[in-house]
Amino acid sequence: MNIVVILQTVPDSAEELTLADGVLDWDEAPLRLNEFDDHALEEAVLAKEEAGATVIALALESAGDRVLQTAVARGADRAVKLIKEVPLDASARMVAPLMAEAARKLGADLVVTGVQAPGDIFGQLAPFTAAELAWPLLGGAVGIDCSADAPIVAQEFGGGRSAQISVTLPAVVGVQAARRPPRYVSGSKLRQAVQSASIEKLDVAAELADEPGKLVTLHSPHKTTAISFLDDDPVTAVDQIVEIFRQRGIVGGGRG
Amino acid sequence: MISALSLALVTLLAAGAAAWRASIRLRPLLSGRPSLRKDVPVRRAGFLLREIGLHRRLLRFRLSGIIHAAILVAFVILLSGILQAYSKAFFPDFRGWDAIAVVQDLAAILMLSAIGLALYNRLVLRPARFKGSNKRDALVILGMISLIVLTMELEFAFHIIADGQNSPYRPVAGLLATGLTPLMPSVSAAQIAEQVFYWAHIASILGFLVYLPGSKHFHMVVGFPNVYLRSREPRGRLPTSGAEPAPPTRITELPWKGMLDLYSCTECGRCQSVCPAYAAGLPLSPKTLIMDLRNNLVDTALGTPAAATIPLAGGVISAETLWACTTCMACMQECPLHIEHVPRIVDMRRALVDEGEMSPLLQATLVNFQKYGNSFKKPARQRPAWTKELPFQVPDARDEPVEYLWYVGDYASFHPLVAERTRNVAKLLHQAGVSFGILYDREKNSGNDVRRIGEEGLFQDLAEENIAAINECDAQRIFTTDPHTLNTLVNEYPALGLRKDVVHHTQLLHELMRDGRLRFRPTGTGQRVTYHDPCYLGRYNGRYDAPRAIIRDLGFDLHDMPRCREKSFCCGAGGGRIFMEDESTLERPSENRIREALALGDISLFVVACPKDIVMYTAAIENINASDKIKVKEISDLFAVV
Repeated sequence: MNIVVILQTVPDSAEELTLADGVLDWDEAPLRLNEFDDHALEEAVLAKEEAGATVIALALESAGDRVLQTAVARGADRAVKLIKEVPLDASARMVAPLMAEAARKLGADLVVTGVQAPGDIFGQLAPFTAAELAWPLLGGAVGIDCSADAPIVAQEFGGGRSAQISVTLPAVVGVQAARRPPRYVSGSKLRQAVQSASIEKLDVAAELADEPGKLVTLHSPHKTTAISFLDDDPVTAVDQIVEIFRQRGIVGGGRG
Repeated sequence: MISALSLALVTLLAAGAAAWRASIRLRPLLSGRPSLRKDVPVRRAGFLLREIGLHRRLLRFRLSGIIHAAILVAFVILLSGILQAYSKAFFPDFRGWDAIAVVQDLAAILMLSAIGLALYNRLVLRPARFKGSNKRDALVILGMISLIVLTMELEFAFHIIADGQNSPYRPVAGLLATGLTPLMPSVSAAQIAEQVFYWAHIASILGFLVYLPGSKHFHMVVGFPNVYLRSREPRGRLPTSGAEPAPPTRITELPWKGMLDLYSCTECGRCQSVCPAYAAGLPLSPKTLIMDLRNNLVDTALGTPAAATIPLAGGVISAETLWACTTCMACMQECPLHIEHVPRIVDMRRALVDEGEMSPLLQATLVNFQKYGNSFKKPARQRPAWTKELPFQVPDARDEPVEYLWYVGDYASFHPLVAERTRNVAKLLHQAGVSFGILYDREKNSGNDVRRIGEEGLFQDLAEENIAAINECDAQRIFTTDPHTLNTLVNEYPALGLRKDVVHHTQLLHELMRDGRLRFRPTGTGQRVTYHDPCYLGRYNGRYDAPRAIIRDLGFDLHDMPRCREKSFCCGAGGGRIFMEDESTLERPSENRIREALALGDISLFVVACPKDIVMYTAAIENINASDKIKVKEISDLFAVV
């Protein structure tokens, strides 16, 4: 089984980010691996350890070699750099055709990637890529168990419900969280990967898709309810609690 | 009649058995990683003789040191008794040496007295450092030595009875003979008894010889080469592993000197008694760590199934044990056999790091080091933020020549409690007219603690980037307020290309005071203070005096704690412990230390010279509700009093 993991870089919010004309200056922004892709890579490597799959890390050229070298140090078998002129702020929708063609060329049975990317407001590479490939999609995965004949993808829903879905390959999976935290890559392994890992280059004929929409404005969520803090003094706090109960009709008013 | 042939036969058999037992245990050394230290043989031999002759380390624990010295002296003298016993067999006319007889007799008394004291120490006093040691082995050995000496004396006593005349050269045996004579019905009975005790003496000697290789007292053999081959590298320089193979993961992959260390351990527990992790109730005793490794080595040597396949890190030694070490070096400082605990622990940590086996907090911290070059997850551009509140501009040492390059360090740059002290130091230097600059956003964590966590590759990355930045500067010297940074810059960076003198800020301030560049007035007015030697400044780098000189020159009345200078007690932050969860079950090392200071009485200031100490001890004082009794002061704070 060939598992292609798509890795994207996103602006590092822990660093100082600068704005140009009111929007993020991507050229100056320090980038790091998208956290969800980090989890996707971990799931792919776990799958490899469970079922002997071949893990192929795929990234745009603009992501830089370090991301791919780290993937190799983490356990990826191959590192592939997609050669194409792509703007740093290109959305998931725009790059999906490139990733889909790359996945086909790499003989992917399973494509995994992060469920979203904070640098991309549309942030849904998995569904767009699945659509380009016309493969089934499972999003919000919290585990891909490859120890059985067919991969079983775990999804979690509200109310503590979860689903175990057997997947017919080929398929695309959007990973929300790996079953274990992404493993640490020691400096020694990373240095070894830097020295020895060969990064393959892959050309694709596909063109970037059109931008599907444009961000006009952003709003904070509307405030609907608010929490109330009780006073530190326990006597006052008790009065406050009683008052709240009265207001909500939990206890009768007036008689105490 | 003593049968020379019988004696030769049993001796050969016993020697063969002992050699066989020893060779089995030592065989793995032949395939251990290379670690021969061939440099300065004369100096090494001289050091070995001094260590044995002066018992310097052993006498740090007075009673045990005296006992050991007495046993050693008596043992060496009584070797002549063994020679004498063999000479009797092979040369029937040999009558012994009168000149040495009296010394042998007295040595026997010395030995038995020392053994009595040793038993008293082990069975009555029972110091806590013996906890975890093999008491049975110790008692067997003490019993065997007693047997050797007693049988020798009894043989001499019955010889005197059989001879019919007392010897002025054997006062002890003579006394015994006087007591035993009434029990002897005839001369021939005395002769038989002499023969019996002769052979009992020989048997006890040979029994001891055969028992020895399987005992902790094997140190009598391997201790000599172990001390001779001790590391002469600076304490602060961990063995370079950049060009080395991967860290040892199985016992057979240890360097052979590391295996020799294991056989040299006498289980004396000195290391355990000074270990801050052990004192805090963490699952680490340097002694039992070495014993566990040795047991695995012996099992492997004896062919116990699967012993050789057990991973060292996380198998033979639990990960919790390895992560508990503060790398304070107190264990190595105390070990009389110069066993190298800390490099062994770091090697095993390297294996854990390579496997990603660490706590989430530590992993997150290492990721911060990788991504941001510091543990605080701060962008590089915020590195010089502490300078913003200064009334002057701190030069960028990459842009203009400076006398001193200040390697500031993470805690001094980012921790709010420490950054204030960092500014104090800057103001003092500015006042003294010192030209200094910093690396601004090019400075990254020096990697000292990263390396001791076991993240060797990351250390190499950090060091290379830092050295590249330093080499861009035109600075005569480097100084730092951080002893951890100082350690790696002084001891480890030179191997990677740094060629600059590095001093601690206490040394620099003292120099400036001495040269009259830093004007001060002694406003301590005799206030009683104590000073804590940071491990990486003191024990690692031997820099004890400058801080004390400053404190005294400023007019403070300095009182050292009982554990001071090379015996200083770690705050608990070293070796990356500050980046791990605190799982102390007893008393935190930092709280233990504050209580030690309070026990001095009337001490109002706890003076430190390490950024991490500021954080650790400030928290410790709050935790034990001692804020009204004692306060933490960085050395530069004392100037602020002016």
